[in-house]
This record gives sequence, structure tokens and C-alpha cells, in this order.
Amino acid sequence: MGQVIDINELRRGNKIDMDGEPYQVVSVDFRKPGKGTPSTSVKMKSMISGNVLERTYKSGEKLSGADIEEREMQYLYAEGDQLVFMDNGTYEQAHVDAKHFEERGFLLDNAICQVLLHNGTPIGVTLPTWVEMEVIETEPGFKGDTANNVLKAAKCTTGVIVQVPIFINQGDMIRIDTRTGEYAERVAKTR
Amino acid sequence: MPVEWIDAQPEGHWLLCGRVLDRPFPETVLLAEGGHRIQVNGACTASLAPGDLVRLRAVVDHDPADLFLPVDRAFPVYLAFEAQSLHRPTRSPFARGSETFRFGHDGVRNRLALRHHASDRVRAYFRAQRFLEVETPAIVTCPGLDVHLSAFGVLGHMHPTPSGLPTPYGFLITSPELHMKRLLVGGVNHCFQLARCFRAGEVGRRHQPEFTMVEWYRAWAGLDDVLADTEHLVRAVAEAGPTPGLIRLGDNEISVEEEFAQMTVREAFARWAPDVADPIALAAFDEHEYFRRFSQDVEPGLGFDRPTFLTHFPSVHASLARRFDDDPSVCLRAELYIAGVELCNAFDELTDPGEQRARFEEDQQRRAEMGLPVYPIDEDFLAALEEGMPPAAGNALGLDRLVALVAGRESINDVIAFPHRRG
Repeated sequence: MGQVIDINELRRGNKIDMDGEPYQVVSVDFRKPGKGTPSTSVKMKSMISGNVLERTYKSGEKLSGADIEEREMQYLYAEGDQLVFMDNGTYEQAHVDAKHFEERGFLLDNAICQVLLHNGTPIGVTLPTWVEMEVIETEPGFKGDTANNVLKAAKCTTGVIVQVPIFINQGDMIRIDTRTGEYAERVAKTR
Repeated sequence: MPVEWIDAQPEGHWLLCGRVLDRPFPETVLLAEGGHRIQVNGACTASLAPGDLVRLRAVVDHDPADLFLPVDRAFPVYLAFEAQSLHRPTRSPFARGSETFRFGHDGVRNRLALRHHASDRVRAYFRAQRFLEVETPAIVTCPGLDVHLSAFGVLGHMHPTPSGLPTPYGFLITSPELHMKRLLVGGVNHCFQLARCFRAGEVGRRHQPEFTMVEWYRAWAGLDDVLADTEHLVRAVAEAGPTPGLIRLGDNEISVEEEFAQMTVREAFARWAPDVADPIALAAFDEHEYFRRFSQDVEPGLGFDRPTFLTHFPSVHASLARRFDDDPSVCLRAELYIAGVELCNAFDELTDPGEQRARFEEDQQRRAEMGLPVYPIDEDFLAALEEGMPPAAGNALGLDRLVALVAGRESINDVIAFPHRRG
């Protein structure tokens, strides 16, 4: 069983069990009318169905943390709708349903990811925060055209399209934040 | 000009200081300097890397007008002939979570500037009204007794006592109220301060354990006078914002130019929680249910047509406000709401020392019943009331919340340089 979490300690990102289903906390809103009693309303998203729940708790109420194990595993290959990951320590494999991925364009071969297991069953994958990919197609940049807030589309190795500053050229390596899908910076070429 | 100019520079030369944002071409760097972005060309920039803190000697190479650049991208381009990197970062200043990122990329810097202008305007208003700006203690022995506020304790000397622990010294104020009222007794008839207040355990979108309160008192005046002050203050601060005269939060636009509305607690419940037959009775009978309905149904509707003062609060929540003579179940307390956000809490002040003592004792008893620390009664404050406090009204307005609203932000954390986080 997961540990007990006091409502005052609850934070965004915590994983809690609601009737045996794991939920991730999306937002925690502390409310307190003037001279009034505090309450905390919690918005949470099921880590399996994606359903969103909103509940309000009094101060001092307790929630039970979900039994979630996060294991570092390497992405091997796709097999139909299943993506196969392997624990490099134990060589154990896990098959993860592709529906857990909203955007597979940031999943590179051999990437080391965090696979989420709820009571031992894989329910999701966290990609590495930063991925580096080569731009394979974009409009050329112009010298002198350096305003940083003007963006254009660039197609990367996996086919994913990212908005990049105008000075990025085809063949450049760029770093992307997988949480937001946003361009972060240009990196030195490694090949 | 977006650069610092040093007199010692030969005529026409500029000293540019800042951080390299990017090096799009071998001999071109983009520099961030004081919130501006400037472009520098020159062979000497070839050794600079993104993130470097640099100093460059340069001349203006060409004016944006020469380039026919659109106005939003117009900045002068400099030609550097000497470049020096003062610091090469050993961790990326552009990664999320870095301070450079937060202040440079999230617009926080602009909102800190708005904060600065807001406090300027608050001070200007009160000076024009001939208020005295005062400072009162932040460390006190008797913090407020309000049952729903929790004070931070302060330790004295850090030399351990024989028990091995430093001795407790006092508490941080949850509000400067009691000291400011003592100033009224002493003849300071109009006073205000921008006070840092501290409340333990309050972290949320609209709560921080330390926050800035604009607190003011008018002797020989009533609730309407401080509500009029509040209207002027909100307008003055909104003038400094990105949408003068208007508060824009999400899809809502609320004009602050017209007279603010007033609504009693009874009227507000009748409109948004009509099944509650008598909210004033409910507050006395089941406080938790009252606040639950208030937070859930009433508060989210308040102040969307125009800023609205909620008035006639239940006397069980009068705190330090006077009760109505003709209906003692309600009190002369008002809160301003804009777009569902509570901004202030105003009182027509209770001046009767006997009733004040009875209320403090009741709070102490409730704190004891709830298992909360029972703070001592502030006898100095009661002694001042016995000497005679003039009839007065006061208000406490959350500056962080007002600035956040004017900036169009849901969370006060967005207008605070280093907000406390949960956990």
C-alpha cells in the first residue's frame, strides 16, 4: 500500500489511490474565505482512463498514496500497439500499450524512460525531459533575421514537427523539452 | 536606450553588458540587457557562447530605421570591436527552473515592475489624502486570536538554553491591525502601511505564508469612507497595468471605472445559493457548512459584472468590526470582490473595550476547544481602547492579489519574485 498523505502536504504530481484506481494530482487549490475555514480542492486525473475528478477536502483529511513504482527502462521496439521496454538491470521486459502515448514523436530508439507500474502493471511512460534531434526539413534561415520571437515549423528525425526560431537550419541539432514539445536551444552537432 | 552608457567611453562608443542569448551566426550574438534584446556583430564575438555574461565595446552599426524592420522587431544593431566573457555558466541559465529563465522568459520581470508601480501609486494616493505612512512591529507577543489564522513562532537567541533549545521570543504578525489602532488612540488620525504579514500553512493560488497588505485607518470616519478609498486605490493601480481601466482575467473583463456595486451576504446567498434559507443563522449554527457553500457557490460568482463590495457579514465573523445597532446579527464589515477574488476586508472598527475583551475571550475558548495554541490577549491594545479610540474605519487590502488581477494572472505567485511552494 502507498503511504498516507495529509491534505496539507498534497502537491501537484502526487499519485493517490481513489477506490483502487491510481490518480495523479493535476492541481491543488487552497481556499480560505476571509475569517473562514480553509478547504483544499483537488483536481486529479486517472492514470488509467484519463478521467478527471474534482474533490474538496477539509484541513487535516488524509488521502492514500497510490502504489506506483517508477522503473528506469530502455525503449527497444514497437510490436503492434505495444511498445516494448527493458529493465537493463534485470533484463525484464514490459509491454506498454501505445495508447499511453499522446505523442510518440519524442520517443527515440534506445531512450531511457521511466516506466510507471501500478501494482506491477505498466500504466504509463515518462520520456526523458530533453531530447536532441536533427532538423531534417525547414525553410532556410536568413542572416540578419535574428528576432528570437519569430518561429517557423521544423520537421525532425522522427517526423515530429516543432516550432523553432527562424535562424535554425536543416541539419541543425536542436534540444526539445518533451513536457511541452517546445524548442529549447540549438546544440552542437555530435555527428 | 537599452544599454548602460559609461562616461569614460570615447564618444560614440558604447559599453554593452549582458547575457548572450544565442549565437545564430559565427560573428553575431544576441544579447539580453535589462529586458531588451540587442544584436551585436563583430569578429571578436566568435568566442562567446550562449549563456555567457559579457562586456562588449561597440559602436552603433546601423539604426533599425535603415533596415525597414517592423516596429516590434526594431532594435539598433551594434558592431563590437572588443568582447570579454566575464562568466561562462557551468549550468544552463536557459533551462526551466533556472532563475534566468523565470525572470527572463516568463514575463515575471514585467510583473515585478508592475508591483513597483502599484506600491508607488498606493503611496501617492495616501500622501495626497494626507495619511501618515507608518511601520509597526513584525514580531509581537500577542498575534491575532482569529481561530482560522495560524501564526509563525519566532525564536530568540540561538544560543541553546539548558534544555538544549533556543528560547521562544514571540510571533510574526498575521496583521498589523492592533498596533495601527493604538496609533489612532495616540492621535495619528490617518495612517497607512504596506505591511508584510505572515500566516502559517497558507499556500495556494491566492495565499502565501508571507504577503503584502496595504492597511489603512481613518479616525472620525465610517465604512463608506474606506470603501471609497478602496475604489480609488484599485483604479490607480489598474491604470498602471497592461489594460488601463480594465481588469482582464481569463475570458472576463471587468471595468473599474464605474462606481463599485454593493451586495449584502444575505442577497449574495439568495442569488447563488438560494436553498440556504438564512445564511446568517447558518453561520452561527454550522460554520463549516456556511463556508463550504460560500466558497463553492457564492464566491465564484462575485464581482464579474463590476467590482462588488460584500457587506453585512454575520456577527459571528465580526472579528474586530462593530455590529449594526438595529440588527446585531450582522456587522459593519465589507470585502471587495473582483472576478471571484477577495481583495480586502474592511471594518467599521469596534471601539468598546468590554465587548472587545469578551470577543477575545471567546476566541481563546474556541482555540482551546479546537486544540489550537491559545495566544495571550493583547492587554496593551485593550488598555488603549479603555483610554478611548475615536470612531474609525480601516481596511486591509492584499497587494499581491490586486497586482495579480491587474496583471491578468490567476495566481499571486506570478507577481512574487520568490513565492513559497507547497510542501
